[in-house]
Amino acid sequence: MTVDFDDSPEEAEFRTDLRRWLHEHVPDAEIPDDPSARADAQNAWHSVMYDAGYVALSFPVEYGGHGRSPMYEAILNDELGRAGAPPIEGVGHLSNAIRLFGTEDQRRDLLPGLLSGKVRWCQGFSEPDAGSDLAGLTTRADLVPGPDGGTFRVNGRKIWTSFAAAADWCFLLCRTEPDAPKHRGISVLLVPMDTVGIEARPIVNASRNREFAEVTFDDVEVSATNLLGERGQGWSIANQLLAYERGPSDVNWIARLSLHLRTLEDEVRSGVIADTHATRARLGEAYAELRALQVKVQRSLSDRVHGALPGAEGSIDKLLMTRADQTIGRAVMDLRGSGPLIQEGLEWDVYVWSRAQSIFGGTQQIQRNIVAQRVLGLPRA
Amino acid sequence: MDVTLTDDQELLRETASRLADDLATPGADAVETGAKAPWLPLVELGVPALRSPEHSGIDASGVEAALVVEEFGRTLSTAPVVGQALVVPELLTAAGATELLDRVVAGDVRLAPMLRRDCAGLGELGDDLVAFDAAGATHGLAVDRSGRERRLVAVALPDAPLDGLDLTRTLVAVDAGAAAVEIGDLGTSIAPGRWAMVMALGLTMVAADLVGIMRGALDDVVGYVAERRQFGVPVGTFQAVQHLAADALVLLEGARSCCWYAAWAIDHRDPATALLAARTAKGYTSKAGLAVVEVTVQLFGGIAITWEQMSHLRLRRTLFDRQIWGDETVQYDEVARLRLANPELV
Repeated sequence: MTVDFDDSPEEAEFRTDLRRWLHEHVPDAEIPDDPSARADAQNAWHSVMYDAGYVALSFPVEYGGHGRSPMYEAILNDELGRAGAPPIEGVGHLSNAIRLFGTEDQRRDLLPGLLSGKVRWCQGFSEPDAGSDLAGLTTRADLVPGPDGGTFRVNGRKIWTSFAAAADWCFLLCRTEPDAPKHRGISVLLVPMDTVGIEARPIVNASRNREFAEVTFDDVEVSATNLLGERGQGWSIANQLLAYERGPSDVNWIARLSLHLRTLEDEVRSGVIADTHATRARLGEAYAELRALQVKVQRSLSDRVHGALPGAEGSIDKLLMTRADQTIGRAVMDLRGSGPLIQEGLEWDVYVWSRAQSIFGGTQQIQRNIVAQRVLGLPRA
Repeated sequence: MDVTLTDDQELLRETASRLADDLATPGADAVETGAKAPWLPLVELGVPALRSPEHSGIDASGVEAALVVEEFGRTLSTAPVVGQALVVPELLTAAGATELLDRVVAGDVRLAPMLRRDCAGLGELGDDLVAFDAAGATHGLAVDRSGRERRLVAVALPDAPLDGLDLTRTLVAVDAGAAAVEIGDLGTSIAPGRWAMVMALGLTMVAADLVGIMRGALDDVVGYVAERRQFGVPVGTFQAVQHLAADALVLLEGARSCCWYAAWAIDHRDPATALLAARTAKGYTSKAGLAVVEVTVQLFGGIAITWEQMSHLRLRRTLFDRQIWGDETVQYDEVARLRLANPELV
């Protein structure tokens, strides 16, 4: 144990192989402008990476992962960024939740498809009236007694559900114990999206992307065997999942940011963007914000290697990611001058997502509450 | 890769932390500068020897040095850790001036680094100079430069400290006409690559001091807002207060991350990479340091504007640290230049 940013011999070998593999396999094609084509391209790249053994590096072998230390996730992100490769889909948070709380059958049935990207998942968390106050969610799941523990009848409405229209399964937070205190009345149901009574209506986002959807559940019947964990355990499962989601390397966002910065630097080198002091000040700041995030994540992953589960400190990483994302997002929009204004393009999409960064996965304000109360120990109101 | 402290590093940090508490500046009317600034305790802890393996037994000590500096920044100590105990030994090591290094490590010779008068770089003979962290020092080390080669020279320091803004550091001016004086063998010329490592060390140690100041400020203010009551409740229960404090911690952790990597890179990376890391750390901490201390001033409220409270000492030291070797405006420009010139540099 020591402060050592160098690779161990095994890590170095992995990195060398990965770098060589990326050199040969990174898709040459430009990232498509069309949102659904882009989602498909991302899914295709995920499959290529999965088949080559680069997905779920730190996930246990018995459930389809590679059983390596979490540090390999950081190496993967470094190298994806360095190679200018598209990021892969973030499956770390859902897969860890199913691994930690699922039955043996659920793990074996669900994890391989999730990790490979062949079976696509969405998260039914937010509701129109339960955003930051997630525990106030009102989607009901009432148990109707019957064989195999009975059936839950689900009614309610979810919103901001990413990729719901293309999803095969939903990781659904719902209220199963209406009489319990609000944080203790929530459970997780794993719901096949082709069940009768589910309707997903796409929401067009500010950059014309149809990634989000509003999902309605109208008397949807879900077997009680699809309960994840115990009844009433949903809030703690959700928090553990969100802590993983807040570990930036799990969602592969750092590689995305590295790629944006590298592209800007290439454009300065080639003269597309003028090499002025003002430009360099923006690039230098973007690089520093990204490095602060990268090293902080390496510190957090080191703690995980030494046995710590992701916890409240993960909110610090998420807030650093927000800073880096929004610094880079603005630079992407600004430094190209009138270009992205005369012709709307990917810059706008990058910028819009950077603004979403302080909203999704728990808003910046919720993260600050967590840091203030659970890390700094300030008193609750 | 494993970014956690060893038991030895934790022990050093705890020891340095206790000493820094003992040598803390308690307030603006009790600042022990000049000849009263502590030096022998630093010698006894082995700080001037830290970067020299034959004295300390530690092969790669950039991280250890940063840990020590952070503690002394935290308590606003006047002990000249950065200038006399770390930058000067690094200069002497780079020049191979082993005899003088031995005497500094033994605590017998007191030397301060000479900055240019604009504080933006180490000073060259013929410039208007200012000695940094000069409490108790008799001489300053400047550079005599011909082409790409740099040799160390010594200048005598008059016993006339400046009324600098940073009350916890002693500055002494030396005019451009000053002649080099004999203080012993100052070694051979320092090649550009080695010089880059000296710069990287200097930048990183000032960055570590800024991390320490941030931490001291945040520790104090978190304790304060948990106690201070308004409207019948601790002000620390208000979200407006909590969010400022939370963001300050985020900046502190970002700053510490940049700083640890830079401190490690000094011993484990080529000069160009180490310098990129050091400039990144100095840029980030210069910006974040001022932001955090200013936020803590806001959270303390009116008491922070008084002479007796510690906040103005933190603002003074932060403003000065920012300027040494350049603030974020300078560093971020340099970071981008280094990256644009070499796409492989990360």
